[in-house]
Amino acid sequence: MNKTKFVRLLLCAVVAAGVTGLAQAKTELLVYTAVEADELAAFKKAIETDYPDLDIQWVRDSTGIITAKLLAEKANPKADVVWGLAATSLKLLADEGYFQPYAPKGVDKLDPTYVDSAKPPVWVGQRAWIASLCFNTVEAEKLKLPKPTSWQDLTQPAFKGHVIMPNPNSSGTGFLDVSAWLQMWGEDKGWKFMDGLHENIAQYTHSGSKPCKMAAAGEVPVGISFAYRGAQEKTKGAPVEVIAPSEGVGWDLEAFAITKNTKKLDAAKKLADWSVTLKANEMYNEGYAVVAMPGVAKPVPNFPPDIAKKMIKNDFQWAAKHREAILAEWSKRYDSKSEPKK
Amino acid sequence: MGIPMADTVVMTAPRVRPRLGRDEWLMGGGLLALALYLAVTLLVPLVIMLAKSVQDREGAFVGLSNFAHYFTNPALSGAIGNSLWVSVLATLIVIALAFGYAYALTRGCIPFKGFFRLVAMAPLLAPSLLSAIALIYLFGNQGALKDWLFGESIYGPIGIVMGSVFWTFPHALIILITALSTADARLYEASESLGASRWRTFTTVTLPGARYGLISATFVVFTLVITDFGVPKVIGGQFNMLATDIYKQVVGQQNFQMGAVVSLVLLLPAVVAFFVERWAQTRQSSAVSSRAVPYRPKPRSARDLVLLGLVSVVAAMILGILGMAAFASLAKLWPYNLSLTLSHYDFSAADGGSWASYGNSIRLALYTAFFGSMIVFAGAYLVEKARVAQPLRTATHLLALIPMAVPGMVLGLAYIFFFNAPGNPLNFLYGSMAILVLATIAHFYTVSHLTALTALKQLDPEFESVSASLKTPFYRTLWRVTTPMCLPAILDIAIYFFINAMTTVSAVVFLYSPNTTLASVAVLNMDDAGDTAPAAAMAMLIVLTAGAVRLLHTALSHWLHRRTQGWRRGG
Amino acid sequence: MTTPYLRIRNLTKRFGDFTALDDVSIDIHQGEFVCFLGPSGCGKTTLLRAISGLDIQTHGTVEQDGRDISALPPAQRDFGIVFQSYALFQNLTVARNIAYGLENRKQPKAAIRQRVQELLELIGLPDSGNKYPSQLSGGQQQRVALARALAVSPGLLLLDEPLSALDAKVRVYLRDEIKALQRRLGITTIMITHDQEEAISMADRIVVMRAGKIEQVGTPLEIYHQPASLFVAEFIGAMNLLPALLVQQGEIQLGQARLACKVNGFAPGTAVQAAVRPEDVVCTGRTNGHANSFHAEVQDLEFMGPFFWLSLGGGELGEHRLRAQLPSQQARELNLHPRDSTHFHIPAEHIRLFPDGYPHG
Repeated sequence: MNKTKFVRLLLCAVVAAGVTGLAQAKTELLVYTAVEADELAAFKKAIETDYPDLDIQWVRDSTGIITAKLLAEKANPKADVVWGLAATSLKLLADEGYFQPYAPKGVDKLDPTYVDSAKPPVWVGQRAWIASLCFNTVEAEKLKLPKPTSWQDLTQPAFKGHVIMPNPNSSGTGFLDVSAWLQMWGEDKGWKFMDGLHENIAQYTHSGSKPCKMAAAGEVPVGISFAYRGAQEKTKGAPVEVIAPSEGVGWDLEAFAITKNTKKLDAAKKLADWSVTLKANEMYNEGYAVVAMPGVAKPVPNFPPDIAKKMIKNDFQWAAKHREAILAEWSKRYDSKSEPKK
Repeated sequence: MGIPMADTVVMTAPRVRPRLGRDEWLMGGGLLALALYLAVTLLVPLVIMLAKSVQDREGAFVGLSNFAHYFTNPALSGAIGNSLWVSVLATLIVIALAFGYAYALTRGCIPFKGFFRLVAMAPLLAPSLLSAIALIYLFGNQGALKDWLFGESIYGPIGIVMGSVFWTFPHALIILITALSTADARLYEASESLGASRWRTFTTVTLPGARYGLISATFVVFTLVITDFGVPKVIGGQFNMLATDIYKQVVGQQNFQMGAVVSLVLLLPAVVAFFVERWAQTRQSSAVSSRAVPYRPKPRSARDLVLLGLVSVVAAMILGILGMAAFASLAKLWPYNLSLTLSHYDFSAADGGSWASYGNSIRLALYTAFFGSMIVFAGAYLVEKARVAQPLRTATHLLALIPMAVPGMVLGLAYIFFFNAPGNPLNFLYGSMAILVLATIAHFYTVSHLTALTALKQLDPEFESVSASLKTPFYRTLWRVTTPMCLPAILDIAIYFFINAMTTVSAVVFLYSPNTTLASVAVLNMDDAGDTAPAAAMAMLIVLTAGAVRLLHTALSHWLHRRTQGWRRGG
Repeated sequence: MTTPYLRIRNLTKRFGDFTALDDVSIDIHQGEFVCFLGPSGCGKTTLLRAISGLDIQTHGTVEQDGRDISALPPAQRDFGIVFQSYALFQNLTVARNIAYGLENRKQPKAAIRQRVQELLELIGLPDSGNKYPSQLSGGQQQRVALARALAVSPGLLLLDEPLSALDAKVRVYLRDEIKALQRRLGITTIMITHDQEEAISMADRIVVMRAGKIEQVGTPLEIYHQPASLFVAEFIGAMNLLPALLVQQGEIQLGQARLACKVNGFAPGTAVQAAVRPEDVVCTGRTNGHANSFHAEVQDLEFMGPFFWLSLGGGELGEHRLRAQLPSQQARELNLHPRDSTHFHIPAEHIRLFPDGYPHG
């Protein structure tokens, strides 16, 4: 008697599962991303409005971590699409044969400098995020700090313990800074600058946003972060100023690529197609001043006005090639010093 | 047939092979299932992790070269010394404070004992991260009490020690209150009648009487601090500790092999502490003679005043930290706009968590409490009462003791290795809510198991024999007699699981997926991203939930007690 | 001879290297009340648990009512059991406790209710059905435990030191009650006890055990008067044990006294232990009128109410010490005082000889 009851229950469960399975014939797409969390919900909504059969599942973490995760899963990739990750990282992964080339419908409308040169392209850029300083004017006044206008200013003794930056091992922003300094000044001068900067650093943070948020909270007056985060904090009412240092600022592209051997290729292509549309580019512009589709970008409130002009000429090939060596050198120089700087 | 004939047959008589009835099959099967369960959720992952520590990234055997790399790299091995001295220092402070506090509550005549006890237990409701966040608000560069640190930075060992003291304090206090309340008044009378001074009585009667409690508390706190990851992560700055190094290696660099190496290094002090603590526990319980006369403190104004002062200061610090966290979650834009707002409780803009995480945490806590207390109680029942498979019972019991010696980070990492292996048929669990439940049950198994065993040992050992003689299946007696009689203990276990599932970070931080983000992990991630106020808000949500559940539990216990007092009299 | 109800053959139980039961064989007949008696650790509990199947023996067989139950789990055997601790289900009422075994047998509710009431009356607690065990006294609780065991009408009743947890008065009272109940129901019963008085007063037969072996099986009278070994002699009742020398067949030398006795198989010249019950030492007064007597000094007199304890020494006893039990009335007649020297007689049939030194095995 009990057995029949059990079988009946089991049948019910199977049927129920089948019905719900039919009801949601959506394709679940596992997308690895480093895009800031506060933007992801809006992107998901917009994408799923245009493609109701897609169900976007974000796996979000900072650039370094997503990169490390993708590398660790190389043998058995989990992600269907990598979306909004630093082009440097995508380039590096592409060299490992991680991706499947695909030319999204309308990719030709994008500025070719932001798209992989291969035909069809392995990765496609979406927008650039740009390094900046977040400078807390209230705390600076209390501490009598001058307003820094260049990177070199930050190595002055006055800033000792008052600068905070992201750890390039975990943060994409941290890496693009280091990469930019080395590209602008060459190895010797670049590392010498960082040695000096290290003397003034209060903390290396895990995420690229945190330095700006800590500057906004007055914990540390100067945060090396990126423009979008600074503008956000300023809009929220924090007494910060977003500064683009005079020597030039590092930047990286947020870009996407489709994982090789994904079981959901069709769905992945739909996401790729959506990502190059005008609508997508307009959305990219909400936080970022430079987007891949020419003529779309409008000025972003609270951004340093001249920031686009200060973007350095970024060699993704070089950055991807040297990424591992740069990070190892950085760790060797600055990670082993465990005592916090005062 | 005569007896002598039979007698001669004996010498070669075959061994009797007991035939198994339905009860025996079921119990044996249950034991086997439990042993398998513990093997899969505990032993095998740990063994695989051990194996990983001697492999390279591609899985080839490399001997001890990972360890060689670890110990020759000062950036990594330096954490050993850091972890040790910070843990020792925090432990000394906690034990000194908790001993004074426990002494005041058990041996002093001070007012509001109930209130002080309640306050002291409050940190149990919070994730360890909360204290670190509150400390940043109190002593950070914008902190209200920044000057108290004489220019030292809160980011680093000072902050880690302070934060650890806060959250481990109640753990030490519970043990020391137990140790001090089992005093034998006769010893004090003897000491008094011999004309010993109070100090002498304290050093010759009080301290020796509590010595195993002190040892036990010391090692419990030491283990908690050295294996904790939340506090050093939030407030440690550039100060490396073993637990944060595992996280850095695993999450930051995805270097699982090095994570396994650090895990083993961290496992060592935890295992040593485990054995010392178990030893002290057994000594403590046997030290109390059944004829002891309970000690009743007499008022002594000078002593009581000092004790009241101590207790008030400690209670004020605990309330201060909780209060600061609450304020941090409400202040609009620290430190520039201190008007109150609930906007930080809208987590949509924060990086790393949302109300969905909170919902997940509640679900995790409910599942863990429900399944955990069921598995643990059924397991303890079989270990204690099954009439079959003695070796299996012993093995299962030993398995159940392992989690206490295994830091959560280590368990979490071991789970990645085991469940994420491509060939593992249990791979489908990876990234699910189920794996979080499994990990949390395993992580907090030992204390629950021991609680259940204690309750079961208090029952008459012959219930099962009587039941068998009445041809009643054991599960019927388990359901109708054993379980109702152990209900208070089962409730305790459930609540223990619930609150720990709400507050834990260490094991689950490696195991959550986008669909199963948790409130406690969200606190960590939000803080990581610099969203400190939402992090504080999430931590406060956890505190409030755990507190509410704790209240519910108290009410339920009272109700249960009233309902069953008809048969609970005497005992 | 009728076939025994319970046939136990060659039971051996080992726990690792320790042998708790060593080749035990015994028959128990239908309706018998048998006590397993012995000091703690003698194997009596192990034997009971083997019979019940709670701890099955390593070797040997158990047959109950012609059925081989040697390897069966307890639930497939036919017995009721009562423990020293009562083992009552604290959260169930007395009535539910008694009904516990019945409820599982899918009997109609009314029948169960009726049976429970019957049993409550049988144990003299007709109105206690709705009480919880903790509301009853120890003796009452043990009676409930008994009723619970009897409810399912088992063929065999096992009592595991049922009276040990009770105080002296209740114990004596319940002792009689259990015995009467057993007679009335005619149920085959095995009781474990370490209390020889309990065993003697209740059992039809006593099984004296020591170190995993049976020392002697017999009626209380047999065990008392004809102990088969020095151990039994010493363990049951009070016993004088005196080193003596077998001078010739039928005569021993005790101090300077020569006493006739029944000899079982010792060669003349053997050193033996002479066992004499204190009540078998008869005071014959100041003159020697009997055979088999000796004179000794009363070293101490202890008044016990109905009798006196006498400590004898000196005289013909020399260094030996002997305790005698003297009825108070006789002591009055003889007007005995300490240091009095007087004569004592021990009937030859009440002197039993055992080999010198403790027997082994």
